[in-house]
Amino acid sequence: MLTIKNLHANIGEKEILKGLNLQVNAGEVHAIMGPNGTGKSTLASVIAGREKFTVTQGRITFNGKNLFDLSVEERAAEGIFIGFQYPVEIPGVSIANFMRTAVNEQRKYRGLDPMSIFEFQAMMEDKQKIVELTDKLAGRSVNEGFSGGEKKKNEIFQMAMLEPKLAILDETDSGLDIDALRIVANGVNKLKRPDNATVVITHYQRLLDYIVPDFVHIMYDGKIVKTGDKTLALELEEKGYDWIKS
Amino acid sequence: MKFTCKIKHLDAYLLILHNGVFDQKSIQHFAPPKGIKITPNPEKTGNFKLEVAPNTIVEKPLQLVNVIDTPENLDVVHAFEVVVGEGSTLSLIHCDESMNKVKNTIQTHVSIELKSHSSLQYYNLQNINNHSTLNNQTEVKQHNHSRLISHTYTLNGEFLNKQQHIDFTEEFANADVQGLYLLDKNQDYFHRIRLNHNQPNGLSNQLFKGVLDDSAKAHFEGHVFVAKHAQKTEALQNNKNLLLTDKANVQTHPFLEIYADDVKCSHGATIGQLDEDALFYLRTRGIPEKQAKTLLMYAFANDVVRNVYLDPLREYLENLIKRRLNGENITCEDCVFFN
Repeated sequence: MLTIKNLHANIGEKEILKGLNLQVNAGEVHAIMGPNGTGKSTLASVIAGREKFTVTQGRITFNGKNLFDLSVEERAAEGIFIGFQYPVEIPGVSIANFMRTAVNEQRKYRGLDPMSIFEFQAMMEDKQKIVELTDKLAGRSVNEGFSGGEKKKNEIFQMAMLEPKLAILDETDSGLDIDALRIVANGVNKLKRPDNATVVITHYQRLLDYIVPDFVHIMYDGKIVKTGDKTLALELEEKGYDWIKS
Repeated sequence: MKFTCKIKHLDAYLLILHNGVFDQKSIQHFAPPKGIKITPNPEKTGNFKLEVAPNTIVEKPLQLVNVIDTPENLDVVHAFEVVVGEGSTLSLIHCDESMNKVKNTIQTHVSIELKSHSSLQYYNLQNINNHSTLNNQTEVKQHNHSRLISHTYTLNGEFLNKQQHIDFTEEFANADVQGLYLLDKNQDYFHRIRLNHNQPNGLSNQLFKGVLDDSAKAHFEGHVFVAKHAQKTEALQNNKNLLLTDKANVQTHPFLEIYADDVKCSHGATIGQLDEDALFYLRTRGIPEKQAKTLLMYAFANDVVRNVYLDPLREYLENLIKRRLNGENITCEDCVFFN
């Protein structure tokens, strides 16, 4: 599904990603772990298409397409979803209006008719249950005045609405208390299907008690330096990141 | 004579001025509701005075449309006076309409007096071609416990000049003055507001927002004056602008002049661009850049429009603003005047 080969990316003059390789197939859950500043979030940003990062070498293909030929919105419509570490507050844009525009624009890209208001409302009600958000959500402005937990639940809610093929969740567990963490993780698990894939980027092993990965990758200094199964995360927890650095 | 206005379900009393003149024709086609009296000004032809009798709730809004429909260039001056009697309520929609193609200069002078415990909603709209100049001047005098809600919308025209002067002549007056200007090409907008808190316990709120594209220019001056004995005054002022290009230009001058010591006053002015992070966030959900920009601009503008109390007017404005932000040249094309 997603193939990353020898990816190098800069911000300004500074090289952040230094030859990263990753293969994600349908039905798999991957976890990317690593200390702060190793380029985990940069990887998510480059996949999303953030302009401030320059790709200097390497390639990313998604279902056979060269990702760098696609705009930010086209990548989304092809089925890539990014769950943000810091979701943006957008005063004045209601969640309902935002999601309806997003769902219908993605449908348009795929050659489908727009969804009717009734269908859409039913879908909203259905999907917000996945992350235990109240029905008052629709009229609220996107993330405005949301607590940290609500913002992350809202990310998973959007993921549920957009039904991506590949979800990349960047530090979705940061700033969550244990209840919110459980709800967010359950949401991700409920959305798992044989034809989609999830990549969770995390700093702590804690999230992986709830979302069980098929592969754990350890990232250090702009590269994936070690890959294993879920026991690798436990080993890392025990030995600390210094083990990787040495 | 037939007049249609595109605002759906707006059930209003309609008063039409022809090229700025209030005349026999205007009177003929206007059935004044109970409690409203209109008298021509004997000194100045075409001008008039509109009075709402004390303790009258005028149920339907009154829509005053100044239709300019001559084939030649025209300087139109029209003036009227509105007096809302003690304890009375009125909603007034004032439209200047010149959708002929020639260059006009339109000047309006509106003088408003709000007697004690009265309230007025005043909506100032326009529908003029992009070669024309519009000067709107409004003076308001507010007595005790009177309430003014004023909205000014600017979507078209070439030179636009708005001057508002509001005086609180007695205690407990309340004014909520808002406006929105969406400008592009070479449109040039000027707005000066002077709000005088001459007496204690007054409350005023100003909210003006602008979106400027291409080489459009805007100049906003908001002057709030609080007299020495006008204690317990609360005055808020906000002017926010969104610049879409490097060539668009905004000057904003908020100005508070306060002589009383027990007051709550604030002002804010911002000039900014669309939030890049918000734009990126919307795009990562599959919303194309153009639509994402429109969504953000609309959210910015809606801050003002959502405060319009008359539902049909608000819905109409929302639609008009969405289309304007999509780059359409906005005219109320159904606003037609037939003889």
